[in-house]
Amino acid sequence: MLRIRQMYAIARVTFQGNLRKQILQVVLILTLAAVLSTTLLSFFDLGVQVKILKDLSLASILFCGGILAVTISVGCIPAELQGHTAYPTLARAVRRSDYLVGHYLGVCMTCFLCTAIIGIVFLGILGVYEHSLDIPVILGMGYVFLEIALLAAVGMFFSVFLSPMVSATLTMFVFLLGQIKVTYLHGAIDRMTIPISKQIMQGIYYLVPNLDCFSFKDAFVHNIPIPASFLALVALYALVYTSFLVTLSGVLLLRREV
Amino acid sequence: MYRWLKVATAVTLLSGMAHEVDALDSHVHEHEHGQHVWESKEVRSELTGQIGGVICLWAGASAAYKLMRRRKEQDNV
Repeated sequence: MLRIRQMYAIARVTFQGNLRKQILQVVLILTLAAVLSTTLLSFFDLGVQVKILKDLSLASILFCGGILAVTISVGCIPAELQGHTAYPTLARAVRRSDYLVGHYLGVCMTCFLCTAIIGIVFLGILGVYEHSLDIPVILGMGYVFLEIALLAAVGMFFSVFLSPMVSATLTMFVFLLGQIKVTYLHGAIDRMTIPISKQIMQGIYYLVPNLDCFSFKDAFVHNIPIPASFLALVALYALVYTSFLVTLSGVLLLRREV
Repeated sequence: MYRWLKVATAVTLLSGMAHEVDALDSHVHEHEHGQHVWESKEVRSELTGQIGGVICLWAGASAAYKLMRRRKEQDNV
């Protein structure tokens, strides 16, 4: 119980610290502007306009959450270690794993708040057009959040042993490669002719998390049914991968001399 | 070692880029008319395999964490 309270306290402080960051406000305003701009597309038929709204809004939520997950997660722990503000916390009876999990939860809470704000605005506009609550789209937003949480774990993992700039670059690289893993990267590797290049790319292929499978945008925009077993598999994948990365980050933080 | 890695990465990217520009049309067609991710059995089996592998790695990482923490506590005592 004490450990949960400690983790919650660290998560709350991280969350409050993240809210003061300018990047959060800028990304949030830009994304809200993108979502609201879909109301200007009144020259399309209503059906087309709703499809564009769903497509653009889900992509905007992913973009906003992805950028925030990358920028916030990579800066949390290095900033505290370099600024020596981590010492008073770690000098108490707080485990390093709890310290890390607390920070991770704080980052997730920040990303969740932003995606929820954009999601509410999006659902509001959608409600005006459709006069009903679109449950599949809410499910789609949930999966976008799972993807963002996984990305934040990747960022936090890199930030434990690399500088923030390198961590951000690598996390962005993972984000982009993960997005095209099945739809593009798989075919590109198959078409490669140089054996060493093919082996390197295959190594990268298996290391990069499969973020492509979180994208159900097409299904929700065009009302295509998705099997529940696949949804459950993807949720389990996100949970297991995230837990593994957070545990591994804990191991690396424990090894690090603070 | 790093120099070799850089050379290998550069060769990979350059050869890949040239090849992909040639194959762009076929890729666009494949993407537009291909199977969805949730319909592919290959993706499903890949995800299942990856979950199994990551669970094994996770168990290893948590065991390593516990061992290291215990050793550190003994050192402090």
